[in-house]
Amino acid sequence: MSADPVKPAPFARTRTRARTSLFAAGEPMVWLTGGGLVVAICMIVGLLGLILAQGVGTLWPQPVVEVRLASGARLMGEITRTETYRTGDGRTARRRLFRTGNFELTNEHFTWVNDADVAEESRPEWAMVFERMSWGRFYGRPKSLTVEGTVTADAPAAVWAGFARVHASVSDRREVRERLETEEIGEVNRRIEEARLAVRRAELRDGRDSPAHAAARAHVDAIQAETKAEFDRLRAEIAALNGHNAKFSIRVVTADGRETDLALADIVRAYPANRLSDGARWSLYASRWREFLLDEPREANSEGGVFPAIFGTVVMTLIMSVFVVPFGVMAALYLREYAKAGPVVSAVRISINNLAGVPSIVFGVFGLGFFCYVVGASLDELLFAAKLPNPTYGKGGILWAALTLALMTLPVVIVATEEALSAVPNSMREGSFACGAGKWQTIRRIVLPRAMPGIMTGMILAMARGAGEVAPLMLVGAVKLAPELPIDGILPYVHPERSFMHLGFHIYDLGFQSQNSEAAKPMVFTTTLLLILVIFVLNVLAVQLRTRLRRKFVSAVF
Amino acid sequence: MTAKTPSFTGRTRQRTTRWGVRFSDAFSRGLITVGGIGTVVSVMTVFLFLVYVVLPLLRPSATGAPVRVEAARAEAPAFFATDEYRLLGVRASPAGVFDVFRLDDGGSVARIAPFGDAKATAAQFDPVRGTALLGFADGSARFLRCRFSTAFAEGEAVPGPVRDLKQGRIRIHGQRAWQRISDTQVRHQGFDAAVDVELDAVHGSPVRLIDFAEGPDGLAYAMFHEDGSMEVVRTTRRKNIMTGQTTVRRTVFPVPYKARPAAGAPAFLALSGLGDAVSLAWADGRLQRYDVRSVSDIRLVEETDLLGDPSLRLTALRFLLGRFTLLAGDSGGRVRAWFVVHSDPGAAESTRLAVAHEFAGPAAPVTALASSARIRMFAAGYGDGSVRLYHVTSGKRLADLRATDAARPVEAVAFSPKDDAVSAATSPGYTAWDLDPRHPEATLPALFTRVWYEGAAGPEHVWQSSSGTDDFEPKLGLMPLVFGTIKATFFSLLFGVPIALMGAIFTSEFLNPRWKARIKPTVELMASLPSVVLGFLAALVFAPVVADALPAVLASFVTVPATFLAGAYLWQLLPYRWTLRNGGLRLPLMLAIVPAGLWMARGLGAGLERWCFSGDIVRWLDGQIGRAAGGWVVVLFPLVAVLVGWIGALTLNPILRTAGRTLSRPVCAALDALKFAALLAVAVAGSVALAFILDFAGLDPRGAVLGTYVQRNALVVGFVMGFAIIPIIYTIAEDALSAVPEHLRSASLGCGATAWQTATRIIVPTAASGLFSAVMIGLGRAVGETMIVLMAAGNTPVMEWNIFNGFRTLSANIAVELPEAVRNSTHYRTLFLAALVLFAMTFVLNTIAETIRLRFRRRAVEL
Repeated sequence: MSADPVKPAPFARTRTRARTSLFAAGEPMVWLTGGGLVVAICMIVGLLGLILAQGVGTLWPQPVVEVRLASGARLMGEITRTETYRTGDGRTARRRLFRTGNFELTNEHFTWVNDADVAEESRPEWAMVFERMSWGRFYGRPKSLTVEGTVTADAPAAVWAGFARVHASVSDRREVRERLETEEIGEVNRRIEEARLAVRRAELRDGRDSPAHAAARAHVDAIQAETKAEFDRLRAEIAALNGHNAKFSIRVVTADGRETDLALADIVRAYPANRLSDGARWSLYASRWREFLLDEPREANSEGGVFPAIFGTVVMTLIMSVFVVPFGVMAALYLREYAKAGPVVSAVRISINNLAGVPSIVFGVFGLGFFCYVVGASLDELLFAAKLPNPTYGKGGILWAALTLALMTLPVVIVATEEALSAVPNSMREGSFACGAGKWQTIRRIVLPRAMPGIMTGMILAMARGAGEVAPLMLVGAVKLAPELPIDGILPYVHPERSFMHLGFHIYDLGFQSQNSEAAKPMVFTTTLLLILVIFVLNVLAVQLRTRLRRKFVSAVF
Repeated sequence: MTAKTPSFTGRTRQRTTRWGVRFSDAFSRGLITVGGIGTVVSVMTVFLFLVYVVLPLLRPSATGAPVRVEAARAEAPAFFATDEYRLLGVRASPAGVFDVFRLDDGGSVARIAPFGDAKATAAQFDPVRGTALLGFADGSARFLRCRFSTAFAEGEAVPGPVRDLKQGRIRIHGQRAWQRISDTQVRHQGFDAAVDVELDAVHGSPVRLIDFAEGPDGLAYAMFHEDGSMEVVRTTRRKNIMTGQTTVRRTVFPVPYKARPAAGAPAFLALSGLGDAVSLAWADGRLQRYDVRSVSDIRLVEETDLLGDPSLRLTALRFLLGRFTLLAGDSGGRVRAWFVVHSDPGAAESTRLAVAHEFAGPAAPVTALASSARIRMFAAGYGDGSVRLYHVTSGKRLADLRATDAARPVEAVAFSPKDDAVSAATSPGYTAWDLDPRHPEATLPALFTRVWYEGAAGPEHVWQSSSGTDDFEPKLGLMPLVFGTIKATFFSLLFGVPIALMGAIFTSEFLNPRWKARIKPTVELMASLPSVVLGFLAALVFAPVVADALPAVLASFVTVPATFLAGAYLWQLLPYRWTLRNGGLRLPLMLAIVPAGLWMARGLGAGLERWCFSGDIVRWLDGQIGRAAGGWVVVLFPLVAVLVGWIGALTLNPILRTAGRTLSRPVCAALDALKFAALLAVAVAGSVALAFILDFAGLDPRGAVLGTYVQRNALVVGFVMGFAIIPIIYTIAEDALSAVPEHLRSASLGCGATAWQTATRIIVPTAASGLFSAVMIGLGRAVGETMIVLMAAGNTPVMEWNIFNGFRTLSANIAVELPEAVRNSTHYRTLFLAALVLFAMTFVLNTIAETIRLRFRRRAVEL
């Protein structure tokens, strides 16, 4: 080595190599942070995809498969699920869950079938699916059809054709009977009940054995005598309809050869699953959706529709917004336009903001303790003393639920309205004052119109939050099955004291309280899809409004 | 206005405001002020109402002024009780004669001698059930039903002498007290005592001590005779279904007790509630407990000293409600509560009496004890004439009363059947007080600290609010629920916070704006996803999947991040120019390699199960098979990996950066990849080594963070609730990061920092308070979340950190129990307290977060 090495000029050397070091770019860490986002996106997409796929697919008619097991037993049904499992000796095997129905014969709705046990598998042409009012589905081959008490067809094709011809009239008669049972008899019962209440009221007001009391008692007797004839007429009518319908039945052979007669009146829908054309499949699919959206549930909510739940959710949300919007807007107007800004107002503002983060169940506890047990019980004593000890308002009901949720969503509306009010430029207020307008005129003509989209946004966000909340409703009035809707054709038309069904609570109930949870599961997915759709539509609407509002203000600033 | 001011429209200008405008102005001002303040106040009412419901929990019990009635002097009663309407009292002499008297003036109503001239030599009364067993000199016993009876008479059925009774007045007629309660109705009550069963002598010696217990299938009683023999008799009633006849079968258990000649005869006899154990106690405090479950094996279980002080004497011994806890009063004024506990959970036969509670009294002997018929409350009368009321579970002293001014001993105490009065008999007469125990079982220590419940081995935190039986001890420890809430929050934050914060950093710093405009609103939209949907998916879809593929799920927590890292190293190996131009491809690529990560998780999962969990993870977790090391590897690897990665970055990166100056970019990339592989290997080796060290040290993760697998568990809840809080944390964090002024970013990049350096050293520190507040708000959300935990957490109030076990949170507990809670009961108020705790927790968390966020926003503007 020479003692005097040639040193390159340090400046030149670094200059030629000047570039960002790969180790400083931190590419792996960037990927890791990106990973966080990607995982979140995957979960969102996966979740929505799962709900969409399951929710949309549930009502699609599946083919019916018949299997002969190695043991000789025969099964017929729709395949609902396939899974692999580990056998005792460590190998994996596949098994399928068959919806075999026929509960009254087999005492189970579902059967697991191991692939290893299957000796023969087929799709019989005339396998039919019967959806029934009770006992769930029935799978079997049609054997003969009885119309008006006589056997009219005994070949599958003829039976099916005959069934399609007469089923509509049988269903009509069943619907007439149901209407008679619920509406007409209900009306009669209501009259008697009202008369009895009048007796109790007279007793409370004037005491026992007073003239008013005696008169009311006499009135009850009169009504009872009067309604007896009515009752008898209705009963006879119902018996006639039932008797007529009893003459229609279909004889079905199950996969293992047992024969059963199914009453046509009990059948909601029947179809030869393996013979359906594409058009028939679609129309069946559409008819099931129609039933799901517009009919009442049957079979402990695991079949039928969710109309009462949709209706309950909508009515509850509407009542809630009727309360929450005026008060929320008033509070925001006060805080923004009238109150003097200072530490108190900003403390109130922070508190209101924080209330949005208070768990919903706390509001439920408040609703139960305050609305139902304090306000409701007092109302009962004042106005409905005759019905005590049965509570009228002193229990969960749609009004209390709506008020509870209104209290819960109040912060959302207040915050959104305040934001919208503060976004109205002060120059506009000042301009209005300068033209001689009063404060209220300014607010009404200048401020509120400009803030309207913001207020709407707040309202819609509040509705979305209220519609999806379940925890407080469990305490203040959502029930598994409400026999009567909160709004109906009976005076006074709106019944704010009634319990109601709710989509969110329906999901909870189906998933957790249902005894036939395997059959309920597809329904949960469909209900979930419906709820998510409602909420997302509301949210997207709010977002759209907000963007429009922002654009409007951007153009207003010049 | 006098001077006319012409305006340019030609009309006169109106200078005054029209009254309509003025009115609407004033009206709207008033309405909005009232409405606005009213709304704000009504929102605050939520908090006040919760406090209003909770406060009575902490109020002390109330007692009224003493009502004292002097009566003729009689011997000390063996039995003393008052009726439900507090009209009549009864006292029984030890010989078995009942004196019924009016409570208001002490006047005698009836004298009932159910045995005629026969005199009982020993008696035991059960005021709760209204039964008694008396032993006689010939060794026989008689079972007695003795209770107050109430009946109503109307119209003609009312006997003549009481027809003219005024409303509310009382008159004695035919040994019953009559009281008019309405214009038409008269209520009358009296005391009935009648022999129900005559029990023949088993041993013909006078009975000294007697005790009995009514079990589900019959009566069991114990007798101690004058001559020192003792036996337990169990009767079983069987009803013949065919003939309808009832036959009573008696089984006699002679108890060969260990005599103590020095101490004389025993003073107390106590038969446990099921009739399966009998205890003998001497005045010096010694107690012998015999197991009498089978005739062939009657044995002494233990001999213990109830007092623990030789100078004291045992002066009273009585069972508490449920006949399980023995109350022992001594001459020092103490009452100690004893019950049987299983001292060693392994052995079935090792039971012992333990003193769970001690209640100090005045410096006078305990002379009388009485148990309430409804709750675990007892009254103790003392030798100096004072009476004290205690609640056993909570140890709360409910009242301290004085029956007499003179220091005369209290001979008997009694609660009225509805617990609305307590009375004490003193030598002449008696004293009664109105009583409202309110909520004696709920004190702050009873709610939040360990409490020694009946039958438990020691004080513990338990939540068990209801049960089928009447004499059940409610266990209102809120700590298991608070613990469950913390556990749920911890695991969901552990999962949700890293993903949300990393996602926010990537979105604000590295994502191109077009993508950001799509992705951010989508994630925000998820914040409004109803939690009932997530709960349902967690419980019915996710929980079974996790149960099926547990090793793969565990592995995915490692493989998925590792895949992203590996992807980054591969990306670096690509030509620099190409990567520079196609930086936007990174996100799609990341999305594309997620399946690879999941696929690897499957493989690694199978491997893990074979190597670490002896082939079956569920049995391994249960502790049936395998050694601890495998579990330690899984638990430690993430920690070790983070540690190794961090240390590696600190030590290796400067060296590599210096070395990298002379190397070309592909070589640098290869070196970097090599570094990654090396660190991974070090992390694996390190965690395996550490696992074996811990294993050899005898530590086992099972029983701490791991344990028996339950399908609805903290892992599932953590995952799904983490997902539920990601949107809110992500949104607020991203807002905070985006709010950092652009000029800071530009300055940093202009000085030559890379985007990553800018992000970690400039942006994140500036936005730190905003990020913190995002996490706090997420925390608040997780604390109060109800539906997910209700559906997916199994709802068992256990206190263990095992990630594979369930728990019960405050919110889920409210949702489950409040609909069934009786209004204004202790249980109801305790649930309101739980709601108040939730309210306070979230309100404080949110206030902190909000204050920090506002401060951050102000600072960001200043920058």
